[in-house]
Amino acid sequence: MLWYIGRRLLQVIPVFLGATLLIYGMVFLRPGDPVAALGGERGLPEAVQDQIREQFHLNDPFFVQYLYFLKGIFTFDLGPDFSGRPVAETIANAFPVTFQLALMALAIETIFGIGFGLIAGMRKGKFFDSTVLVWTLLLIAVPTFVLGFVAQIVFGVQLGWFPVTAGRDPDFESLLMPAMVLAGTSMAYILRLTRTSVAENLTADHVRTARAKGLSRSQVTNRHVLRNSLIPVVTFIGADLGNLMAGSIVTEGIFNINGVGGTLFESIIRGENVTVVAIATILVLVYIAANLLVDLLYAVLDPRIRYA
Amino acid sequence: MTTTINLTEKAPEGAPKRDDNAPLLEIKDLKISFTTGAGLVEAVRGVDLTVYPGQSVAIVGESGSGKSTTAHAVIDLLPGTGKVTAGSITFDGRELVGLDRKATEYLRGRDIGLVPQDPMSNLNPVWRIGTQIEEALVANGFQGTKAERRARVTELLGEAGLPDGDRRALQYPHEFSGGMRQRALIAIGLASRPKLLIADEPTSALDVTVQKKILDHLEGLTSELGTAVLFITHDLGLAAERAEHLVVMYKGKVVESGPALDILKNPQHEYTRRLVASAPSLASRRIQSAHEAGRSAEEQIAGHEVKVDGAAPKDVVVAKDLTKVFRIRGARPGSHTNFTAVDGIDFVLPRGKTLALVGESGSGKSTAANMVLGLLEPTSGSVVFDGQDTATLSGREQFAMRRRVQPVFQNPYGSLDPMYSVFNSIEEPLRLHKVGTRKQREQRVRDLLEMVALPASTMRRFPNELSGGQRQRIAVARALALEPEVIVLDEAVSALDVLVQAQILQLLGDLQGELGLSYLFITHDLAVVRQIADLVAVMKDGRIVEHATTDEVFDDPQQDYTKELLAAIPGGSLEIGAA
Repeated sequence: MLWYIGRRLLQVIPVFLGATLLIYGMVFLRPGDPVAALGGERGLPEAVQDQIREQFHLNDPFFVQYLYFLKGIFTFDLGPDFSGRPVAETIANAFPVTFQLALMALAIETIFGIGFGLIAGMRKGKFFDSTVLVWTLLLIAVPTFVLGFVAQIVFGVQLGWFPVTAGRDPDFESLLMPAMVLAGTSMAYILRLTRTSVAENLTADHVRTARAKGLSRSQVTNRHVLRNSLIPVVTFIGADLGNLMAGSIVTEGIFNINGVGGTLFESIIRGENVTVVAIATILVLVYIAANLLVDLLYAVLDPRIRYA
Repeated sequence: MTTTINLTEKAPEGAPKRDDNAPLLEIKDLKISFTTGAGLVEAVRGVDLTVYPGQSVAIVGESGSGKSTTAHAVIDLLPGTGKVTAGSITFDGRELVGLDRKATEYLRGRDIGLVPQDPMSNLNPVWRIGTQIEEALVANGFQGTKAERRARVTELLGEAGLPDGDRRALQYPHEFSGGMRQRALIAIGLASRPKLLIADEPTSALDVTVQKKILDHLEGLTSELGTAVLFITHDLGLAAERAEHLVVMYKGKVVESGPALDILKNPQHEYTRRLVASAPSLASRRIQSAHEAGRSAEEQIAGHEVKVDGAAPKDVVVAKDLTKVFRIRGARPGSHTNFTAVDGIDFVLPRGKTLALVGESGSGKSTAANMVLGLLEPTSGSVVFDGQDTATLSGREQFAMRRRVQPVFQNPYGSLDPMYSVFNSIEEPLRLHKVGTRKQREQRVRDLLEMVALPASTMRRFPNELSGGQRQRIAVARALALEPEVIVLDEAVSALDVLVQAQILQLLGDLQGELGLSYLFITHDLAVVRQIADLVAVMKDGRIVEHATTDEVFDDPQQDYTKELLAAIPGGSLEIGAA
């Protein structure tokens, strides 16, 4: 087990280097001069521009710039951005709210996806099942931004149940609607996955044996159907955490949340390479960590899987 | 003082007084239907059956006869859309048809236990064995502390033939062998001391020797506890040996019932007669027809051989000191252990004959077969095919050799591609080896289907539309497509019902006579060996312990292990006087 975790952690190194290099390369190749754009219509004097380029090593070749970036990462000092604000501070401000949003969405999709999926799977072919299937199809088909605007108009403006936008330092309540919108598509997938898995497990031989033992229906469901059915669902949820962080870019835009999405978007526009790559790298690391966690959880759920 | 105190547990409403002559289970005119896309299909069409307390009754029939469906109806565990449409099931004087859910749940485990068919799929892989037995105790009103429950689980495991129960209880199903799992399932079935135990093909997935041990054990245990047993089986020999009373089912109906020996000695119904005649376990002592057919085929081949290829070696396959070692990855990176699956075996397959490689699962017989087929590379030793060492062949020569050695595998459901029509399946080897034009190939497929006694119209159909026996015929036709000299039959008839099995064996015998084929017949079933093989090699733990002619092995086994295998054939000890 420890060997396994060790090996997985070692794998992080090449993934980290590869991901940062790739993203840095892509940002570097982007057309346009961020420094020239800093001064707006009138432009900055040549001398100032040169000084800025010198300060941010923009005249150095690509690999040198990349090494400066790596140095920044490992010394935990990414330096300031063009406006003089430390990059680390920008990131530290952006992540908590996005993290909260993603976790809320994760909780929503897990609870409702598995819950309704279980019921639908147990009543396969019945009214509840058919209704839920149509709704999930709708959720999967409609793009998130459409869902977001509709939710804003219906629940925010017309019904007034939730705040229309979240704004600065949002609380739990104002993040609820964005989290639901963010969770929508994934919840539909989890629901369908759970439903199929449950329906399949219900006909498994060992479930019949459990019933033949004299267990009550709820005992059979909880102990022998649900746990076995969750194994594929857990894999999906783990992989989905990464999607949620990325998906929040759209959702944050709609609900005016100052999280990773907004920051990343602005940084790309302004050509703040260091910020962009740093944020993307963190997302990659979160993704890796989530997947490791899923693989370990897998072994807990299914004793046949032993890592060596 | 005439107060009667009911000391037994409170049973839900109206349990009548019992006397020992009253039947424990009585099924009357039971009808069960399944709703399918094509409408209502009747699976059980009027079954009558009685089990008295402490009695053992066996329902015998082929797959699809409705035997399992009948048994599952008793504990209301019919699969899918199955429904009892008419008739009654009374247990201990109570009507079970239409009983509500709570009462049924109360009944299950406590009054009627179940030992299911396939030990591999009937235990939940994610829970410990002990937990799964404990559940059966708790669900059926076992009062006691955690420690008492644990102790009882250990006791039950010991009773089922798994000593060291403390440790076993903490293991997971995947750490158990098939036999051990079946023992755990027996422990579950008997955990709450039911009055009736339904044993649904409890050992059909196990090796014969394990089967015998487990059935002996089950028999001792149930007679000791006074439990009535309802056996479900397709094996007439097993049924006759293990039950006092037989019920023979065919297409949803009981065609014959009575004391076991009476039925075997004097079967009345046409179907029962066929069943008795083709049951390999019973026939093994007297059926010589296939064997004789083989002998006459031998003469034909002798002529055939001289005509075609006078210089060909007499032995078409010779295995010399054949060894296969598998590396098994260890717990730490880089570490590994070696597992010797096949350990220096020698055998010869004479041209036009059948060599049976017999052994239990894990004996290495399939590994040996795969090396003969060229699917696995031997670690050392050699397979000499028609005088040529297969290890020295180039890629092209190996491809050519594959034409001459073809396989038929065990599971006809798995060995045919469900997306391929029968025509595609049979034509594929011809196409791969670029044999003939499209027209010629089609004609060849037609001929092959005729050879395996299937109508030519079968070629437009898909495997899922065919029965197990039909599929296995197609697998045989596919193997024959390239006119091979050797066919490796890896448990080719093990998954089939007795009657179908007899048909396929007959077919194989006829084809051997007609085409001069040599068979390498891999099986765990000695009863079948007698019907088809000329030579037998008995394998155990990767080695051949006995290699002789079939008659020698059966009449005068030299090794204890061979004797043990022979003794384990169900029904082997029964004397049957039927013609």
